[in-house]
Formats: sequence, C-alpha cells, structure tokens
Amino acid sequence: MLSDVLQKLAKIVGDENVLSSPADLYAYGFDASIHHAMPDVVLKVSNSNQVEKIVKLAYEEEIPIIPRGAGTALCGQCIPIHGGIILDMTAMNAIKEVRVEDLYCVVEPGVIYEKLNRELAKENFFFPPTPGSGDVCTIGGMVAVNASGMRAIKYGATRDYVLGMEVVLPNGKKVHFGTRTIKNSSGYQLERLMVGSEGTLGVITEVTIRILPLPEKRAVALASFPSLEKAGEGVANIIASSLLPSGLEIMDSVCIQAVNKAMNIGLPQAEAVLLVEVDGAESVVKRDVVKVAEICKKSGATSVKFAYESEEMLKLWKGRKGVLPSLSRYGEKMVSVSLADDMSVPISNIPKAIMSFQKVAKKYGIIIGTYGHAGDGNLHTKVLIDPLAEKSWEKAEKAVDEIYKAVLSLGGTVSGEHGIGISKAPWMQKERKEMLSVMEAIKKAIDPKNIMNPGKMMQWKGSIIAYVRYPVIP
Amino acid sequence: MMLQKMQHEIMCCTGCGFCKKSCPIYEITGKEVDSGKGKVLLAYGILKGEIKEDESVVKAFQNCALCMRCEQDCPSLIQIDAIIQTARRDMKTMLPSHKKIMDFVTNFGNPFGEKVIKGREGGNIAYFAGCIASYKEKNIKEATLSIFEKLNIDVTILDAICCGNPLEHIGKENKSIKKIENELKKKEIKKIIFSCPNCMKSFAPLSEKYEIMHITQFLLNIPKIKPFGKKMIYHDSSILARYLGIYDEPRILLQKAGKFLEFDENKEIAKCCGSDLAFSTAFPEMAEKMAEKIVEEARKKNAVIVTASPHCYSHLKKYGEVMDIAEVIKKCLNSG
Repeated sequence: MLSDVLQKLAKIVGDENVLSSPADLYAYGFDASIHHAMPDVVLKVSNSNQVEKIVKLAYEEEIPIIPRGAGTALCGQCIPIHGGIILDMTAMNAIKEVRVEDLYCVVEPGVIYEKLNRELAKENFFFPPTPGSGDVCTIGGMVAVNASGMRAIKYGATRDYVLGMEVVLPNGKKVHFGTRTIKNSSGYQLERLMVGSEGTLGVITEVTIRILPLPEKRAVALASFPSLEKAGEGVANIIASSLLPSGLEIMDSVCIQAVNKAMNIGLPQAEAVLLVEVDGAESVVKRDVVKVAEICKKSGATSVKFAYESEEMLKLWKGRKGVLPSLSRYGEKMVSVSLADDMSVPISNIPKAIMSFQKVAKKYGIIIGTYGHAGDGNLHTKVLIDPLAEKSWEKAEKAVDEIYKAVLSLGGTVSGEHGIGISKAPWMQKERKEMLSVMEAIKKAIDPKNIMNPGKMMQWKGSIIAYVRYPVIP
Repeated sequence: MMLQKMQHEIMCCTGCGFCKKSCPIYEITGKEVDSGKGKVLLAYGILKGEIKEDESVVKAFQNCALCMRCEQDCPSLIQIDAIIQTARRDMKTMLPSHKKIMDFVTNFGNPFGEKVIKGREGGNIAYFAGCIASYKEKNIKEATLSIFEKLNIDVTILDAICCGNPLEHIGKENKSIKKIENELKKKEIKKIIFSCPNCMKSFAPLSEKYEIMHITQFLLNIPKIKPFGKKMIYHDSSILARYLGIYDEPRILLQKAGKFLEFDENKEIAKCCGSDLAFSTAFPEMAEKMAEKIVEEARKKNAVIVTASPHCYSHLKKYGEVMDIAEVIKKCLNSG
C-alpha cells in the first residue's frame, strides 16, 4: 500500500491504531476457517466517523476493505484474499441503549454476544440466537453471517431480531436502514439485505436489535436411540406435538464415541442421542419435559434422563458441548477442519442426511462426525483429515462435494447459520443458480468498485482448497 | 526448529478464538496477535517459513505472562502455553531486558546481579527461597524461616542461586537446574520446600529423587493459630494454581487464620497480575495495568491481598497492600 495512503489512514485513526508489523498482519489473516491470507494493513476503528473517512479513501484509491469482528467465522468471510484493509471493529463495543419498554437495544458492532446478554439479563431480557461462539463473537459478525444456534427452533436467527442499522456504504456515505419499531412495512427491507451480506455491501457501524423477555425456567432431557431412524422419528414426533422446544440437538455415534473416549462422561452407547430443552413458566416446563420424555420413549428411545436444575442440566449438556474438542482430538494424526460445517435440510430428512454423510466418509476414508440442531434441520459435520497425508485435501474436497449433493437432493441448503465466505461458495453458487445474477446486480449497484470484501460468495471462482492455512500435499 | 515437535498440536487449533475470552493481555490491547490464537497461528507461520523472525514476532511471543488462563477456555485443549514457550526457544534475538536477566544469571547466578547468598546446613528438609525472596523481598524468606523455627524444624537452606525459571520463560535452556542437582547430591536431602511457585516449576525434573512441595502444602497441617485480624483476599498465582494445580492448600491455611475473601474470578479462572519476571521486565506498562485490576478489586472489597508467590507479591506491592502467606502465618503463629 502506498505510504501516503497509510499516512492518511493514520491521520484518521491515530498511529497506535494502525497495525502493519509482519506479526500483526499475519495474525489478522485468520478466522476459524481453513483459509489464510494477509492484509496490507489493519485499522482498529473506534467510531463511525472514522469508518466513513476510511471507506471514502478506500473508495477513491480502490483498496479492498474487509470488516472483521472477533474472527470466529468458519468459512473464510474475513480472510483478505486480495489484501487491502482489515477494519477491526472490536473496539466499537458500546451498548448504546437498552429500552426494555420498547423491546429493543442499540449496540455497536463490536459488542460481544455474551456480554450483551449479561447486560440484558439484568432487566430479565435476552437476545436469543445463541451461537456456539457466543462467548467471543461480535454482534456485527453475527449480523454479517446471519448467525444462529441451538435455540433457533423456537427463537429464530439473528435476522429475526434486526430492526435497523447504521451502515457506511462503499462510497463512504453513512446511512440508516430499518427502524426502531417492532413492525415496519416501509419500503424495501434493506436492513434485512445487509444481514448475511458478509461484509460485501458496506460496514455495519450500529445495530438496533429486538429483545425478548428471558424464560422463567429451562429443563433438559437426554434420550438415547438404537438407530438414527428412531432418533429421527423422535424429532419428528416432538415437532409434530403441540410443544415447541427451545433446543433439540442430535449427536451421531461417531460423536458419542469421540466424547466418551475423550471426556469419559459416560454418554449412553447408542446410535444417536437427542438433547431436548424446553423453556417457559415453571409449571409448563415441568409438564413439557415429561411430555418430551414420553414422546421419546414412544418413538423407541431406550433410555431418557431429564433435569430441571442448572447444575444437572450442565451435566447433560456437557456431552454436547464436548463434541468439538473430542472430535479435534479423535486420532493421533487427524485434525478437525471446518468443511461442510452447517448444512440444513428439512427436519424429517435428518436421518437420511446423516446416513449419507457416513457413506461419504467411508468412501473417502475420512471421519465425519455429525451433530447439531435437529429441531430446525441444521446439522454440523466435523471433517477429520490428516492434513499432512498425500491428497488428503483433494479427497476432502470430493467428499464435501458429495455431502452437498446429498444435502441439495434432500431439499436442503449448504449453510444454515455460518454463511458462505470461501469454503462453501461453489456449492452456494449451485444451490442459488437462479439468484446469482440478482446478487451480482445488487452488489454492483451498491459497490460499483467492488471494494467491499471482494472475491467472496458469488464472486469466488474455482476450488476451495486455496489460501489454505494447513500444508496441502498434492 | 523446536516448533517442529508442536506441529500437530498447532494444527489441532481450530482458530475458534475462545482463548480471547479472558486473556488479560488481549483484554487490554484488543490485538489479534496478543491472544492465544494469534500466537499459536503465528508459531505455525514461523514453522512453515511463511513469516520470518523480526522484532514484531519476538515481541508477540514474549508479550504473554504465561498465565495459562486461555487454556481454561480452549475447547480443543490446545497446549497454548507450551507452544508459546517452544516458539520462544526458536527465536534468535532477545529483548534488551531479557538480555540483562540472562547476563546477570550467567555472571552472578541470580537475575538481579547480586552477590550470591550462601545457604546453611541443617536437617534433611531443605528450603529453597528463590531469588525474589532472597534478594528483593527478604521479608518473605525471614517469615518462612521464622515459621520453621517456631515449628522446631531445622531446615537446610539452599544457596540462593537462580533456578533457571526466568531463562526458561525467556526462551533459553535451563542450565541452572543441573548445577543445583549436582549440589544437592552432596547433601542428605529428602524434601525441598519452596516459597516461589516458579522455582518449584523449575525443579520438576528432580521430583522423582526429591519430594518437592510448596510452603502452603508443607504447612497444611499446622496446629490451630490465632486469627489474623484483618480482612484478607487471596490472589492465586498463575503458576501455583493453573500450572502446579495448588488451589486448596493456601485456602485451607488461610482459613485457619480467619475468614478470607475470594476475587470474583478465582482458582482456575483467576486473573493474572502480570508478575512473571520475564514478562514484567519487558512489558512493564502491560504488567502494571494487569496488577491494577487485582488491586482495584481488593481495594473495593477493603481487603489486604495475600499471595503465595514472591513474584506476585513483589509486583503487586507497587500498587497496593499485599502480604505473602508466610507473613500471615508467621504473625498468627507468634500471637498464638
């Protein structure tokens, strides 16, 4: 980057907020995906006026801009593949307003999800999406990828809570989209367009979020099933009953074995387990969890345990939370990589989807553990490969291709909650063939110079085994 | 390159960033490279040759108090501390303050450039006071020796030479421990007691030959003592707690001296005060900010900080009221 541009940038944010040492540039080149690339400079911004000035300059100089929150994205959304400026938004972390009487709060994009909920809990309210990375991820990042988590079955995704936002458009102009009202039929819902846009349309500098009252009580049931089909029946029967769980999670036998091997917490040796959470008024919760247990038994569960108290609940959740570390420690040479990580299928197709993934795993000699939010059809697979083995990445990419073919044939989507970035781009392009030209047209209209996070989603070309942070042995 | 042996460990890092949640350094700077993830992946960059050693890389690896707080939050159970220390071993250049420590330890046998204080022969229980309690915070050593005396234990006091921990933390080989081992062979020692958790960490290779224990473990079963009289709050040393796993003994001991308070974050998730010698000499401003957080909470709770690490004591006393646990016990024994 030209030194006079760097000087101008330093003038905007202050020297101490311009990071350009090799160590800084290298470290900011990662998120939680398989990819890595280095930016030309990292700017730590502290207000939207700075963002306006930076974007205006970048627009004039045609320099790529990649907004970045906590860097927990799983598909390469904040990897600067064309270099340019990484805008580190984490210092814009003020909770500007909490208005429980109006059911909204206004936050800067760098606010951490868990911290926001800690504040809201003081007023007995919450922002429900519950992403797995909630302890560290930022609200801006959640909006950028339309994040959600295990409570989406009842409470929906980030999109469902975004009432409005302030955005700096690629020409450097600050605009407000949406409202502070619960309802709004006033023109194009551009705030919704920004949700899931992965930094390709502008820089989000403020978000107005709808909030909900916290449920009085929660309870959890753990049911084990002799087959995936039976577990699938359990899911379908719970969904079809009149109760609406606040979480309905599934783990396949690979995950159960991994957790038992690594954590020794004695999950039942079953082909599948379901973890079902219900919430609401205490009397309702007590009634519903018993009802869940009955439905599971009728659907063929071999055992069902349940808990009301938070400590007992934590014990039951421990196995589910332990899936990720257990899988990443599964084999001596294997490592867990983020590929094909969050597909969604119609709820009743979950057993078929998991079985097809296991077939793919067998065919390519890799290990795939499947778990996830069965209640809303959103699954997580963890692909375990030996990154140092010959052709392991080639095999992994083929396996991913077959996984997505299966997902699409089951009427699903390649991403339920993590977004597209690089790692899922080729399959999103297949899935959304008919809307690609519309997406391109929108991108061109808003960002004619293509400076905002260029090269991602519909713009990605070729194999995803590119800009890989691991060694790739052909 | 020593990092080669950590390759698999590094690759197991999924980059999820949970290590940033409570990293005391990242909390202050908000810079990616200051988090566990930043350093682990930077180490991989060095290993792969994608990035070369320069001042920014050396500083990145050194700007960590090795408090291991991040490992409590890592869902993939990555040995972040070990990766950072291994990366330090691979660095060729040294920060000026580290060079000074290294020169002092090499030429004087202690990191402060003082004349070595010789030990004293006694029974088969040895006391290794460590450099901070011997040369800087002599009250800790005096209090500890006075407790031994009160309990009628004739300890052998070992020479106050550096255990090698500061060098290890800087990223240099610990040659001191071999020398200490040779000296120990000449004596009839069965048990070695430490005031300093960092010294105890250095002595780990000798743990098969000698029973090594922290002073709080040794004093665990002392008879009833008089109450201390002042409101206390116990600060976990990162090395004593997260590294050596000694959480309960200091607490049981303090309980005997009366009621004590806990910091909001304590035991496994206790905040680090930034006292590590290698870290606090190279990054004094950062170490100060970390200490101030501890002192501020103690002040709010209107309590005297009690530590069981001379490192923490020596660092925290610059900012607030602090006592070593041996001083507390000495006072309660004497009034008993």
